[in-house]
Amino acid sequence: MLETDYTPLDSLKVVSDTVIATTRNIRETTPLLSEATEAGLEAIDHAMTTALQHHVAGIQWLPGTGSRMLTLAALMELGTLSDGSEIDGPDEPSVRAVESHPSLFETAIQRLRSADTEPAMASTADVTSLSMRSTLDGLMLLAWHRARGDVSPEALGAWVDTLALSVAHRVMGGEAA
Amino acid sequence: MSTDTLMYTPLDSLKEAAARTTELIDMVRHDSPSLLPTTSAILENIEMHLADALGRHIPGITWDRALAMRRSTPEARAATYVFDDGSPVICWLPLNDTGSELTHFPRSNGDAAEHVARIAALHARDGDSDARD
Repeated sequence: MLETDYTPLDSLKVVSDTVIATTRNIRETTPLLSEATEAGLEAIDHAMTTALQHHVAGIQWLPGTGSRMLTLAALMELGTLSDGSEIDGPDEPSVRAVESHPSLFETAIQRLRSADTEPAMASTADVTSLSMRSTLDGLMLLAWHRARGDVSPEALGAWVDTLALSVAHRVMGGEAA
Repeated sequence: MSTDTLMYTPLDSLKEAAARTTELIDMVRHDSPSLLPTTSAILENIEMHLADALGRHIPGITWDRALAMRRSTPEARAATYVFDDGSPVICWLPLNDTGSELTHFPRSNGDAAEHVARIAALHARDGDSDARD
């Protein structure tokens, strides 16, 4: 699709995807970011997420984590332009990061299974940890691949996206507590 | 989905997100003067993408690659800061007697006086002399 044919919502999706990927890139490539920079980058991600929430259902911002959680439907909606064509996979840097560390795929599943049965896993410390962010990223990747048909539903199970929401609620509850 | 979903057209959301992000990038630059050149360049890249996105829907907005800054005609600048219903996207309010200005996004921040009071209380609590949203 030509950029000149983008609707405003297409532009919002594309620029949000780019901005969120870019802030993540800064975090991953810049050692020792100052607190002010970290806070600023998180606020930028939040601003973009809020803008998307006005038009796409199923997007949750996870306070204190700098992360967002998407339902499978939202993930697909964000990755699709008005003419039905796809923009690059959502959160490409995450995809690359996880694909370069295949074990994270399995680790994400294990951590989420643990979190589902052991509420203590969702402590505030976990929520704000980098590993939790990676887990959420891994989950997004799982959902994305499944939606694209790269991985069979039988292999992953239908629990992936429902568990995503479960974890999101748990995280939100942990923050509130 | 937000309860105020119906208030925002997609272009409204794009305008507010762009304005907020631009303010936040300025804040990062202000608060982190020792940013690595690569980080600074990446932030510049975000500004370019925002300018491109706005420019697709508001005639008169371009990205000046040589100076790495957004250029807008007066009409385009005005359109950037007004929602489709004519209300302002952003405005700047005096913050108490500090001489500082507070960035205010009326549609999402709500009542101006309440917003100023809320931020002033935060500053008083944190002892922060900078006017920040």
